[in-house]
Amino acid sequence: MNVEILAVAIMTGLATSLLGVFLVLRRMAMMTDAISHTILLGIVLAFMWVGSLTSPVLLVGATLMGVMTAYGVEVLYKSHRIKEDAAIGVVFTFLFSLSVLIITLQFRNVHLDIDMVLLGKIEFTIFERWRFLGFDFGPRAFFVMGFAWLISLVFIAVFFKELKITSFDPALASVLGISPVLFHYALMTLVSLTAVAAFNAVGAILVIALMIGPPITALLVTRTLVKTLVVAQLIALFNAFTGYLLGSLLDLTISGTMATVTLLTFLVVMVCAPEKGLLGQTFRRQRQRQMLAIATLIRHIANHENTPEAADELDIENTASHLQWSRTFYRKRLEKAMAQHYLTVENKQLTLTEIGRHYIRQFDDDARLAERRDNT
Amino acid sequence: MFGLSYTLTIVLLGTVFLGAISGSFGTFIVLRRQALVGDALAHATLPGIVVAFIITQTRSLEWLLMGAAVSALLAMLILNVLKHATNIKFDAGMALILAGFFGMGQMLLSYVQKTGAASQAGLSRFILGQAATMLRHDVVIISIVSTLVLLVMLAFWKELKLFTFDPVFFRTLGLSERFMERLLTLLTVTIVVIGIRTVGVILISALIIAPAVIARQLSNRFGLNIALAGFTGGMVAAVGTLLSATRNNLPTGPVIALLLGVLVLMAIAFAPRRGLLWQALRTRQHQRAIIVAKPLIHLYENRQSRDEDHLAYRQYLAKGDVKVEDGVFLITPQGQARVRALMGEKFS
Amino acid sequence: MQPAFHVEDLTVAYQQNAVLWDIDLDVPFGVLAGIIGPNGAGKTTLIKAALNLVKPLTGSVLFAGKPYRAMHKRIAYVPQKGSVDWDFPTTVQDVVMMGRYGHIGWVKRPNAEDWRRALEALEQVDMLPFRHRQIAELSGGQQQRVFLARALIQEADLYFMDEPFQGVDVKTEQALVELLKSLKASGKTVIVVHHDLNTVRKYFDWVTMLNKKVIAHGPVDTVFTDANIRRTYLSDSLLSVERD
Repeated sequence: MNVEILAVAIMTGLATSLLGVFLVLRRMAMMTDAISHTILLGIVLAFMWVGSLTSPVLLVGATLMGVMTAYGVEVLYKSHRIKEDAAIGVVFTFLFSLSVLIITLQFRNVHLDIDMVLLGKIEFTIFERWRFLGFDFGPRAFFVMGFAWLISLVFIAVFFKELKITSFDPALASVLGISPVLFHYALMTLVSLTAVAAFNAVGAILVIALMIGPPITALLVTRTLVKTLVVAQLIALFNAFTGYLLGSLLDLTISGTMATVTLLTFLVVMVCAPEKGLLGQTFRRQRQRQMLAIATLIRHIANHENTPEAADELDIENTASHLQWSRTFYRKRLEKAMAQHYLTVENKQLTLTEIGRHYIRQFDDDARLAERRDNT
Repeated sequence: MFGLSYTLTIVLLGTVFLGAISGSFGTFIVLRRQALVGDALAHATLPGIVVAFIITQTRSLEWLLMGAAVSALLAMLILNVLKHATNIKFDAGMALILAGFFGMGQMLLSYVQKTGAASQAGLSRFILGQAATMLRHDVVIISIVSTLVLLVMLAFWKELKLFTFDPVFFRTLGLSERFMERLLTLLTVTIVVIGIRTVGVILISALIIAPAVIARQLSNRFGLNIALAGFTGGMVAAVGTLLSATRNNLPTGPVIALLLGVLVLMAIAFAPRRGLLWQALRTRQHQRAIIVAKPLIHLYENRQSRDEDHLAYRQYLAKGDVKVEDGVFLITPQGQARVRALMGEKFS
Repeated sequence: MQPAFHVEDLTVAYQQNAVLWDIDLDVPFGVLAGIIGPNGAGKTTLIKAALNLVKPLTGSVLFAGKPYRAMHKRIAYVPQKGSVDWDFPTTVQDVVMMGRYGHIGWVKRPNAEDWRRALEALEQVDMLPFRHRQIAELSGGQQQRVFLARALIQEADLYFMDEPFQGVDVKTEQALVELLKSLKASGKTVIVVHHDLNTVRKYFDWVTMLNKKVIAHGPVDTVFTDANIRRTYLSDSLLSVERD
């Protein structure tokens, strides 16, 4: 087990997933896709200029390119000539192919090959050290990622309420004097910076999984923004740790394994999450169907009691056919309703109890509420 | 053929077929706002390719593409569950599927590398594509599949048209929305799968999206749009292939994508009617005219002038837009017509 | 006295199509005013132009004689319910607190006083028991109450509301109207985009009838006539504005 690789993996996961929460909430996940591809052009251009792969100029140049991508996409779709998704697709393929061409034409023999930037190799990051005053502090990537994480953390902590309101209700924010445009570009700058920082470790494509995966997983189980942020960090930690462990045990590429684990974690939570998960929803729907059936039974009794045809309609044997239910279905609902004391049987006649009457009133109120919610 | 080498002719045929079919079918994808679904599906093919290789231990294109299709369909299945059964934001789910599947592909690729299969080098070429190494066999596959897609498109022409335009109305006619959705998914996957061999999983999006955007700028008619997109896709693919052949090692996919990008920007800026440049000029002219004609508009809305504005009407008096009766300024029919022209045609 | 809300010569156009055309109107202080008109009449655009959310081509908007910049702290805005993501991970009291963000100022956190006011506003709209719920777990009417509470703690003098009764049950609508009337009684001015013609007389004392142009505006009793309603809602009314 190599602690340094693990540390880089964890720090990459933490830094990327922090900003991801806001990207998901602002429906900008696919913009990340564009940015992560186009910062390659920024890196290439900056590299042509300074001739070094470790210069901070690369970080600045690539970050600028990321922000310009966001701006370019916005200009294109605000022109109403092209939808946002198509604008993203056009911009990133254009800038990405430009960078691939420059690389193949200019740097065929240089240490900048496409596989490397596209795919990233977390295992190699530990060879680049951060030395200061003759002392070796550790892998450079760890500190670069840590720097990105810290900036994002401070940014979110300081401007928490501004970020929240510009994400939730930009119109109100601007009425209150908090500029949504300013925060949009601040966020895009940080996202680009983080994506560039993560480039060496995980590459252009997997960084998307690390940015988006933990937040959408966290959103399945949390109800406030602070909790979403915290849970997303915990999930990122888990994914990085598990990804590293599996990757090194099975001798697989660690970044790819981390992305795979991120996807699997999400799928598991999507199925199993207590309220918003698939199982939970199926279970709830089934319960609703049963409750609806019991309510129908009770209403049937309420409608026919004290009427001339009551003797026939409310006969314990005949009710199933009046409701057009199968006998087994009817028996199960009847047992359930009697267990809850909603109704009793007197002389083979179904009779409502006070509890049953109260239940149906409550049920109707709830149904009306739910209907209103559906209509809006 | 035309003095081209045999290899180049083969490559040219392949890319032109691919460009034409992905361009024309891309129109449906772009109009349905599914442009990035294509991107996600393309990335999602990678694990399938690698698994197919692990199982069959061959690099035969049929098997690898079969694997690609299976994993893209699996990704689509998950996306459908996401969309219909959960509240998860669809774009975020799509981004995760895209990158997660791609990561899985890389993980499997590293497994293949570990087992030391020498031929694995051929697998990573799917990421950026490699048109230059296309064989006659590959082109046969591409052209057969392209023709099939084209035939399906023609066969379901009116259904595709209506479904793309108004899926709800489509369903009220008693036609199966689900069938159409599946058909479109299947065709999208097919195009992506035959495209990755040539331009790679990242840039196939350019071939799907860009021709449709260009064609839309040039035409308002559906059929013409599709024909134009197909034509643009095919032409650009041809030019790109020839350009990349002029220099050794110039990758075809990126050249084509770059050309398409430039054309999209040009079409959006300069296209005859929908071009931003003309639009901006016209809008500016019109808005200036409104600002300048403010006094006349006031007269139109308020019947009579306010006293302090008298000076402002001098020029309109001269043009005959305004007349004076009993010392009161009134707008003439000619002036009314001028104001109504400024209001814009959608106004009334 | 200056009117609470004054619009002069306002024209808004998107590309070559005018959305609002030469709007002149005044809303006096202390009224409950309705803006009514068919779909696409520019009701929301009028509010957005007033709040500096869209840029007008010509014209100006004044609040008590002053421009928006000088008055924005005295103005509250309730957007259409559909304009936000109700799935956002945030609670009822959090959303209400957002109304205070302008007062709290940059970077600073809400203090005890802010929380007291937020809870008070929730009490006013009968939503106090729901304050810890996630906003997706509310009915349409309850969501609208939360939005209203959020506007209440802005402590504004002028309230703009965009379709506050949309997707709301009758009971909530009555409660909201009572609240708006009590705002008016305490001297506030309330301007509401509304689409239900049947309730205009009952709810408002001032009305602006809009269909890209101002068709009529003034006290409900004198302005809200059958003739004006026809002119507002029939599309050819635009032509009938022609004189002679």
